[in-house]
Amino acid sequence: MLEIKNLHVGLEGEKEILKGIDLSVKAGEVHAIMGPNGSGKSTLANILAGREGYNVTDGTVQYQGNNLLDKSPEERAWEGLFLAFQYPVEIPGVNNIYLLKAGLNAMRKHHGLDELDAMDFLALVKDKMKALKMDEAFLYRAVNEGFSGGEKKRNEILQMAILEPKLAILDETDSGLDIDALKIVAEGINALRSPERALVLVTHYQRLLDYVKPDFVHVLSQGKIIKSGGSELALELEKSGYSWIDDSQRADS
Amino acid sequence: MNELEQHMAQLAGAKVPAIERLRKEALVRFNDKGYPDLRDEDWKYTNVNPMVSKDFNLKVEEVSLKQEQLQAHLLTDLDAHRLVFVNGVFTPDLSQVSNASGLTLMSMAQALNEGNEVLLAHLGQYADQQAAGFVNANTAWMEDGIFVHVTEGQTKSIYALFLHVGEGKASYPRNLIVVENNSECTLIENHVGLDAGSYASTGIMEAVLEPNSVLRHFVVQQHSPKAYSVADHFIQQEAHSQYYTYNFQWGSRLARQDINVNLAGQGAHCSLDGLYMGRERQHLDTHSRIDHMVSHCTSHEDYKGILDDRSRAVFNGKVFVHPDAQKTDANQQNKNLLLSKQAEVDTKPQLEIYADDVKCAHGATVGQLDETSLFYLQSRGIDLTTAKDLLTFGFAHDVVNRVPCEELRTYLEKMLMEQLTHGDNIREFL
Repeated sequence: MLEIKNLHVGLEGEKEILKGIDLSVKAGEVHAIMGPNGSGKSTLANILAGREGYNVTDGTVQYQGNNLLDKSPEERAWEGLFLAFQYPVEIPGVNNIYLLKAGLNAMRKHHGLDELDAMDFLALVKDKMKALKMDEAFLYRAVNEGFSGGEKKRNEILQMAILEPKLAILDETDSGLDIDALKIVAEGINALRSPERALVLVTHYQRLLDYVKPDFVHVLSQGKIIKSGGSELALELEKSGYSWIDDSQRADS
Repeated sequence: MNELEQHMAQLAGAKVPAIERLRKEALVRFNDKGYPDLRDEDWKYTNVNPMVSKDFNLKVEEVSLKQEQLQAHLLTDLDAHRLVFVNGVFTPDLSQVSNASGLTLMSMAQALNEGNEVLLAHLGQYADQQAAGFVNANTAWMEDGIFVHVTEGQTKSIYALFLHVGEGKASYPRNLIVVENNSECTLIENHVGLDAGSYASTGIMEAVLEPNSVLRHFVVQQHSPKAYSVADHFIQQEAHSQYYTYNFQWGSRLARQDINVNLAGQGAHCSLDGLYMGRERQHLDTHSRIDHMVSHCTSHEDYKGILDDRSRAVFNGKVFVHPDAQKTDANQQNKNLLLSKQAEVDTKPQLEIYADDVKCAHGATVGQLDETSLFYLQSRGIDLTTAKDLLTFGFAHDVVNRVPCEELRTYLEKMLMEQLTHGDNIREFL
């Protein structure tokens, strides 16, 4: 589904952040990308979703067999790529429900499907909200405006549940959540696991992985994947922290 | 008699000596000083020559209006006294005024002709003190508008709708609002250009807020894109009175709005909120001046601006804290959003403080649409054009949202959407 080869990325006019990433994600798989602050995790998530301001200097990204990098962020969304933001953005004046509905209908239109009317959409969204223990009042508030940290993250998962992406990238979705909220969010993520769908969890800590068990774990440091393994690698990291990375990289150089 | 003298002899109140004197004195000042030009500090960014050099017509001509043109602007849902003016002249057929105790409400022309005593006691007392070109012109040729005198209690809202149709008319609307002790008044002023005619409107409002009174004043300026408009508001506030104004403007080729508030009694409070939106080659100028004359008064001002294409805006917010005005609390904010590289705004907060125990704050920003927010919307499947319109609407809607009147809010949202390039795309988001 996703093939990243030798990807080099820098901020426009500045130094390189990703220094040759190789990653292959197949349908049905759950990958975790872990690493210390500043390792390039969020850059990777952003570049996949199409954020501007980055410069790809080398490498390729194929999504469903096509070049991903020359598509606009909305085209990527229509074709089933979803990014759950580390810091979901507040959009004053725009109701949550209408953003959800417009996003879904734009996607359906792209695929030549009929748009959902208000009644059908409401039934769909209420059903998804119940699973995430979200109050219906959220629908009629401005997108993320005045939401608590946990509410914002739950709203991201709700958006994901509505859009039903083929490839979901979750950027630090566990940060800022207390244990109860973490469990609800994790349930929401697990509910979306399916043989047709791939998930990439970008996270600093291992605790989300207690609830969403990954098939593969990759350790990212200084713009490179320095180690890959199964879910046991996350536990190892939890025990020893990231300090060994510095040691091993120092040994390399 | 020349044409101008003939015109003046026909104006309302011509048989009332006090009115006649007021007009003549204003005319003398006008002939002496004329209109302001770019050398005048208060007008250095706004060239009024295109407006004042044109020969607009003073004569009133019959016009016929189609009901469907009007309907959207009549605000029939609103429980209010409605006074409609067509090209500056009161039109009883479209108006709806009912008797209410504690309220005198009539057209300005009627009040001038009657020589209403309250009117005579206040008219020109606040505006003409600072007589500049447009103020003199209005006093000399004022034709119609509203006269409101609230003596007690809280009356239902007053809706003054100024409609403009066709080409070339010059109108001089004049409003006077007197709110007595312990009473409240809500006034909605809506200026609408029904077609794309070129005309001029030079307006003045004077308002007197006696102790413990409240005036809520909504102003919507949506003149034709070829119109020229100048509006001056003069607010006189006595002790513990409260003035709230919400000012929306997106009409006119060239528009100038002045708000002058004189906080003359202790504990008085004024609050000025506003939004200006420019497109194409519009020039929108907002000047405010708040005078803190005495102690313990508070003032609040929060304006937002959105400029697209080659439009230009001027915002100048003056706050004068006079030597006796200890314990003043004044804050002012102006935030601008530029949607095009050719759009321009000149924003200038101006505080002059002559007292030492005061709290004053001000801030001005000029920025563009937030890239992270655009990316967020796009990543949810919203195309870039719609995303831009949504964020622009959100920026503007923040001001609309402060309006404490649901019917007016709904109307403003609708009008606002028509201002956006792709308003239809975002209608369903609301």
